[in-house]
Amino acid sequence: MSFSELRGAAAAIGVGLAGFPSGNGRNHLELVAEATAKALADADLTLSDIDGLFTTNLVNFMPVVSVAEYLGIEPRWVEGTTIGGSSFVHYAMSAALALHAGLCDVALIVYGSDAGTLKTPPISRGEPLAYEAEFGAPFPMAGVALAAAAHMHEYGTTRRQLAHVARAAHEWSALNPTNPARPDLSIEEMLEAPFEAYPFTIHDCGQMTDGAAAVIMVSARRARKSRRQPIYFHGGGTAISHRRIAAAKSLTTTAAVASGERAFAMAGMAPDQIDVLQLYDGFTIYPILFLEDLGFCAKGEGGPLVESGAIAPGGRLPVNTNGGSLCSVHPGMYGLFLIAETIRQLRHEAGAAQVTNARFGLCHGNGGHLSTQSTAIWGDAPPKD
Amino acid sequence: MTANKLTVSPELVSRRARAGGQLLLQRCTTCECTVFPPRLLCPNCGTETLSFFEASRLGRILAATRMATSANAGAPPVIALVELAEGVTLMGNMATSEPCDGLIGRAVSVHVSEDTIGVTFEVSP
Repeated sequence: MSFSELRGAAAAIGVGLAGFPSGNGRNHLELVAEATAKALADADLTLSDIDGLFTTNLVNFMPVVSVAEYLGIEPRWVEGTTIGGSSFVHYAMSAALALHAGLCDVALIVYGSDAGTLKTPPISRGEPLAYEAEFGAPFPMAGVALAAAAHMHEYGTTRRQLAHVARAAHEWSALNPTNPARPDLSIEEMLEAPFEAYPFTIHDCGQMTDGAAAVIMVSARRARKSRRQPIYFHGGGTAISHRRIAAAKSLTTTAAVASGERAFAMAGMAPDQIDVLQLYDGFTIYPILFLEDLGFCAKGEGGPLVESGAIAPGGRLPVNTNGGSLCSVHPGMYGLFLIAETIRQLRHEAGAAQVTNARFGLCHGNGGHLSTQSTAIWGDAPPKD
Repeated sequence: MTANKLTVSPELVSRRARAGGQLLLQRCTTCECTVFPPRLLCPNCGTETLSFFEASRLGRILAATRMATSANAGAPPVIALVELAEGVTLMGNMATSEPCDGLIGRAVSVHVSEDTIGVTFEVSP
């Protein structure tokens, strides 16, 4: 057996979204259930069909157990890897593995958060990060700001280029009527805002909302019978870098180099075959870094690439077609929403935000402050062998 | 200091030294890499042959940011990553009003207590 057996081994057949911009007072487990119900309806399955559970969150001691109990399921396979927001992109590969091995037949990947409304305190408050928290460095903002400052120094990336990331997110968001309307700020207006953590202003940072997502995956064989067009998992890769930003091997090159290489190798593909990208954008520097490190441009050229308009509507490299976490939903861990949007695009259901002829989509998730990276590549058909 | 197998907590040894204003780093006597914060196993070669030595406390700023609101009310607002002359990177606070974009590459020295690390500009004699 080799890892390439996972290429096309599984597919997503159901998606559900809930709870954003507001969960209206529902707690995170209620939002988990709401998204799950929608995904089950989409997949034409019932709760009792679920026998694999892939979840984590920021607020439960044992998230898999709390979610299983709340939903009323007793999965025979579980996965609760907690590596930050990238966990959910990792779960796509993990689900493909489990489904391929027959360890489960119906995998539910799910996340829910009430971080915008109820603001349940994150469990991480019980572990102030040693050698970092004592310096008043809020996690993850301080570490990402340091990385952005280093990137600007080394490659000449500018605050204006960071603002272009926010501007592109705004333009995509405007094409998604379910997103709330946002003030139409110019680049100049964004640059005038005060710093939260140099070089970031409020416009460089996603603001917390509620939100929940659920994705149901089955084996490719079972997916052929699904009522919805299956979206096939083609490849994935995960890389772990650091817990403390001081431990990063590089502030300017991320572990996305490794996660991307692994995902493209499994998929047998190259960046120029990707039609639509969902790149974690908790901070504006992230898409710049990931465009470079995933191989969509040369190292250091991410700033000029976004400034060219290539990632905005009408550009040659559409990024974050739902408005990203900068403009749509930012519930603490964004990874599963990258997958949900990829599926929406490859199903050609994105309306005004639809990328023409989108056949292959890449989603890339970050965890912590560049601490972990996970990449997953999807296609609207099984791989051609 | 000798390269004995460590019989106490390297973390405790380091913190006690810091309480006295001393910054200890570890060097692996097997692969010669330098380690901070303190560990039991060398993160490069995995052997238990780390021994402490006193740092020069000199380094250069790799990156700096200034928090509008510090998460730690008493801490100076500039957070810096410093690469020490010995090749390890650590985080500390700087009390400076200089703009952040002029700080990268500046020569600094670090001073420690048990639970803080301060960074100041090193002025050449």
